[in-house]
Amino acid sequence: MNRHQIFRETIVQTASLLFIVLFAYAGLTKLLEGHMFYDNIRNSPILGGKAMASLASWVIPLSELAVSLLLIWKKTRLMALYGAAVLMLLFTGYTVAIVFFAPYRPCSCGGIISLLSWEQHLVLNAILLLLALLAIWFSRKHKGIPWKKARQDP
Amino acid sequence: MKKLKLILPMLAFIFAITLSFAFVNATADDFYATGYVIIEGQPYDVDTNCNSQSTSDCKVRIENLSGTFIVYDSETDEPLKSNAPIQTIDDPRP
Repeated sequence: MNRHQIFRETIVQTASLLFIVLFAYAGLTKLLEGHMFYDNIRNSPILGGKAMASLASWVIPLSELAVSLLLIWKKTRLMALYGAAVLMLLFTGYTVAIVFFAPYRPCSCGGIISLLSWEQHLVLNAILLLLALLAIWFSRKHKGIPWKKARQDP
Repeated sequence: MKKLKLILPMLAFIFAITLSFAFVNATADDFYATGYVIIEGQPYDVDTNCNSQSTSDCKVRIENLSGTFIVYDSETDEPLKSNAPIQTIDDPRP
C-alpha cells in the first residue's frame, strides 16, 4: 500500500472507531434512560407528540446500536458509514431546526454531550457529518468503487 | 495484525457500553430535576426538565387531568423554576 492508501485507511478506521464509541454510547444511554428521551421528544418544539416520541424512542437508539455494531466488521463498514451519515444528517437537521426555527430551546438533558449548548451541538454534528462523508469517500476509493459507472460503448 | 483490526473496534464498543453505564445515573441527577407534584393533596415524584433559568415556577400538565401542577423541589419543598413552556407528562400515580 502506498502512502495515500495508508492515509485513507487510517482516516476510515479512525472515523469508524469514533462512530462506534459515539453511537454505542448514545444508543445505549437512550435505551437506559428511555423515559427521559421519550419526554424530551414529546415536548420538543420541532417534532413533539406522543406518536413521534414513541417511534423515535425505539428507532433512533436501535439504529445507533446497529450502525455501531456494523462498523466493527470490515465487510459491513461501508454500509455502516452510510448509516452513520444518514443519522448525522438527521441529527444535524434537528439541531438546525432547534437553533434557527424553534420558538424556544428545550433542555437537551442526558449524556456527556448535554454539557454543550445547542449551537455547540450543531457545530459538533456538522463536523461529524463531514467526517462520515469523508470516510465514505475514502472507503469507496480504497475499495476501488467508482462514483460513476463507466459508460459502455454499444 | 488482522486480529487487531477486529479487536480494536470491539474494544471501542465495549468501552462505549461501559461509559454509558457509568454516566447514566450521574446525568439523571445532575441535569434532570427530580421533584414532586401534589395531586389531590398527595405528593408524587416526577422527572422534569425544569431548567432553573427563570423566576417563574416550573409547571407541568398531567395526562387526563385538567389544569397545571407546580413542581416542587424534593429537598427544599420550594417550587422549581423554569422558563421553558409547560410540558405534558404521564400521570405519576400508580
